[in-house]
Amino acid sequence: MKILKFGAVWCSGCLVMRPRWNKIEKENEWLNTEYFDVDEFPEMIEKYELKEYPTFIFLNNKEEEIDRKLGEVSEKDLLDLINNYKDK
Amino acid sequence: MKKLVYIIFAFVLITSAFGGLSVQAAPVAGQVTINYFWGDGCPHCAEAKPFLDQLEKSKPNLEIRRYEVWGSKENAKLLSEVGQYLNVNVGGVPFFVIGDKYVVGYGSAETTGQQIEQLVEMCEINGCTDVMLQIGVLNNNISKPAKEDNNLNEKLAQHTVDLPLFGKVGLGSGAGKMSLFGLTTAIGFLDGFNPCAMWVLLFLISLLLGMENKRRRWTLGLAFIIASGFVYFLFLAAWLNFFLFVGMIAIIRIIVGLVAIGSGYFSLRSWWRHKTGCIVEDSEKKKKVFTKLKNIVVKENFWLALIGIILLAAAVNLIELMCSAGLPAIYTQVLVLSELPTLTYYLYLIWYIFIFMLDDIIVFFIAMFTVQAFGISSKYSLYVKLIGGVIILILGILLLFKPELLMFG
Repeated sequence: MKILKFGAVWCSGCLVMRPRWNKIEKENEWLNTEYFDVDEFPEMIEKYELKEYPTFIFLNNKEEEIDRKLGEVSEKDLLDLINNYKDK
Repeated sequence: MKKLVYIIFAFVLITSAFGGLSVQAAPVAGQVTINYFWGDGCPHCAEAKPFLDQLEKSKPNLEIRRYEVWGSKENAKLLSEVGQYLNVNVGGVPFFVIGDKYVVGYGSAETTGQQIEQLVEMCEINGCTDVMLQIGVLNNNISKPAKEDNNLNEKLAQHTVDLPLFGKVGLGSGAGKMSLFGLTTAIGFLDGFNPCAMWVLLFLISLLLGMENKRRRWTLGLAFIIASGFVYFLFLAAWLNFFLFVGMIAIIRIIVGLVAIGSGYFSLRSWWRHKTGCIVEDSEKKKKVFTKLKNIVVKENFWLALIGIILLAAAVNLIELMCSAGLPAIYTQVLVLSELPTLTYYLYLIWYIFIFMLDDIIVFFIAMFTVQAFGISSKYSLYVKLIGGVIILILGILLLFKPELLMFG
């Protein structure tokens, strides 16, 4: 499983999510995540049909999307999703 | 279901805050009296007659008391007493007294007539004290209701409670003045949590955090915030002066009321949909602002950077004014309805601006102290949208149907 995180420096919700992800990633070092600032990677907006920031896309090991979450997500919900998809 | 409970709770809380105002204004609003002094044989009085007859017919809540002064010593004496009370030298007729305002002479329905109609309309909305009651001319039957209402006010005042933010809330006079403060705070918050205004500041913070010079970081950031607040203050002051200039025209009040209902609806819809993310839109406009900000912040000359940041703050805030969804117009219309002293108007505007900028100030200070970008969780803005939406909706309904309940002055 891989998680793509999309956000921007001017987006308040993205800033709120930053420390939550930092904590999760620190506690789960095996996690494979990648962050994209949409202003630096505008092509990603079209590729993943982004409508809102922050967006978190969960990919399986074939790089296919299995789930996506928009806006502010609680740490607990993120951990539940990670546990659900970790073997995918 | 949980959301509905929230809405009902917010309505109950906020309508109780408005509740106190009705008692304050109700005794005098609606019913209007014109005390009209005229002379038999006076040509201008004859010209005024058809206008007054027509006005009386068109307004069922209007009573015109006619006092002929040339043939009646008693009425002439009364006119003199009224003149003394109003501190005006009454030299001739026709003389119209509406509330504690007066009009001398009569030109035409378009000039003097319109002036009289405006005063009548102000009394319909605001309520007016009858000058005859004040000088004790009328008999007890007319005086009674005011006395009863005073007693009622005293009884109801015992049921006033002090709520944080909204101040003295409940029944009885005295609740109103504090509620305008609460209302200013609530609308300022709702307006301030507007995401449109925040994105530029957040981008600026991200640039400032990369700077070595601490003093420059603080100065440029604060200059941006102060300049943004100043531009918004000018915008509010412009709305205020517009409403003061046009006066209490019903059509303007109705338009602002409809805007308020629309704005309240959108605010509640946004809360209901529970959107917590930033919408992907207009990235070209953002890119241009980002490039300009970058160019300004990296300027070696500090003063050039400072001037640049102030100008950019002014420009961005002017562009983003449309985002406010009419809140400044709604708020300043309510202020004008309250008929406050000029200085008080501006003090309220300054308080509004402070509340409006509060989220920006918090975000900036935390980011500067922790040297980390900081965002306010949208769950707070959702609460603000719920409470603010309900308040704006109620304001809109009151502006349309019961403007007299919004007279805080």
